[in-house]
Amino acid sequence: MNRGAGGSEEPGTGVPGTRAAFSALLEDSAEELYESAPCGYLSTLMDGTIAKINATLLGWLGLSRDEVVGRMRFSDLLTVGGRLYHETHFAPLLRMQGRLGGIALEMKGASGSRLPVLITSTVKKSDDGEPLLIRTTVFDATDRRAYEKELLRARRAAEEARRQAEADREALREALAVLQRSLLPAALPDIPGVEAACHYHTASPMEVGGDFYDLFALDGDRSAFFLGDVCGKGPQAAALTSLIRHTLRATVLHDSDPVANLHVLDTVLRDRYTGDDPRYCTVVSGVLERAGDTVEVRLASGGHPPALVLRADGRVEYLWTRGGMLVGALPEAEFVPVGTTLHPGDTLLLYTDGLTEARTGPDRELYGYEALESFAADLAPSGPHRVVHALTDLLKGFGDGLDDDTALLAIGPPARTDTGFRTS
Amino acid sequence: MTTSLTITASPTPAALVLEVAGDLDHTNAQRLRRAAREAALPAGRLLAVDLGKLSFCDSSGITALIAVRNHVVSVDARLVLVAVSVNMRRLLNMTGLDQVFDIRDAA
Repeated sequence: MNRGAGGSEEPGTGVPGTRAAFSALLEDSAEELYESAPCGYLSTLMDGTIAKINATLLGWLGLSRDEVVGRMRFSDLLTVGGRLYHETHFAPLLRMQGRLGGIALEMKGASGSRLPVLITSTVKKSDDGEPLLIRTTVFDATDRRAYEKELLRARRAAEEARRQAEADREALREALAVLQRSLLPAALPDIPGVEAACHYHTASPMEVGGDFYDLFALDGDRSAFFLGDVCGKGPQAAALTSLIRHTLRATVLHDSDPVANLHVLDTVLRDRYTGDDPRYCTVVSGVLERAGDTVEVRLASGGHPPALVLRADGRVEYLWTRGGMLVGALPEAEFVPVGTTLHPGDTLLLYTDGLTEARTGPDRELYGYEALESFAADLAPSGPHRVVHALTDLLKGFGDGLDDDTALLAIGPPARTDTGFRTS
Repeated sequence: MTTSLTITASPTPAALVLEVAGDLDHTNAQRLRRAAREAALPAGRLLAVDLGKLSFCDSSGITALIAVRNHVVSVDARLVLVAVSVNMRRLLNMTGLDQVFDIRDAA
């Protein structure tokens, strides 16, 4: 016959009470239950002296009955911390309430081992309400403590992982910022007879943008500039931008014809990125030549939005370069040259399409070329710094309507009367 | 705001029509390239890319159109863009691509 709880039911014993009564015969000794229960039992006098203790608890602590009963107090079984807690909290509360349950304490074994336990105590009173003794059950909480420790460890690990992820993200942001700065001049150079100002709006700090610009001296009277936008974003766009900058700088030093410069760039890009993976940029590249207090501009455009000139007399005009094709993707691409003379107080503005493609207003309309032209007309005449400053404010005003990187570069000979700032 | 991209190929006697609808951007431009690469384009066949339902196109979308063109040219087929919106046409004009693509009102 199977003695386990899951034993098979014998035929003919279908009456429920029969089976329960039979099972009770197996647990017929209260004394045996007390001694061998799966928890510790302990009774103490009101002063804590241990009056009775079961075998289970003695076994856990590695003590004999003779050592304990009548000789030790309950608090002697506790660790120093446990004892302190017992005396300051547990005992007073128990005396007050008559019962206290689920208190976590640590007991110490004979071998010095520590046993995390959960304690429940009740006070037994005489018929006239006088407290007689304290009955305590002790549950082994080792597994529970281990579980709590595991939870704590897991939480610490999660927090550490989060800190690490945050640090990694910060490191990446820093690396991207350094990379981004390496693609732009640290500061615009001082070029005699020319004022210049620039601005770069980054759409996302977690992505290297694809806009670029540069301004650098060629010789005494001549300097060169370019500004453009590569397709795509991220590390691949950064690599492309790097190739474009170095190619343009080198080719302009060699030959100051802007159309020829763009053809060289086009050849280099098409050689590097072939048919199935075309990579291109739109770019305006040009040369400035100082003549007295004016500056001659020759530039070429490859598929880039037209440069805008704010004249000293308040007029505004686009330098249209229709027909110029984007650079690096098309066989037999054509690039379109245009030139102008900048007189003192005139400002040449180059920008990327983040500005003109920004979405404005409730209908998220494209900002567009006409809006830019009238914005500039209200601004003219204005020197490079003031133009860039006003446009930077305009970009800020776009809010989330501006979701692309935007580069601005403004260049011009200073106005005759002052440094190009208009006091209005 | 964004609409997902759908590309539908339907062969007609005159052309293989690829209708590109929704937003064409860096997240999905690769699909247009693949659609063109996998299309049955014997030499001389006309591929008509219908942009009538295109709601947005970024520089990756333009790149994909260029890649499609390069593929079509390499297999001696022909490419037209049809139903090009005003915004898209402005973008193509600005980048000089209006000189490269055959742009028509209908296939």
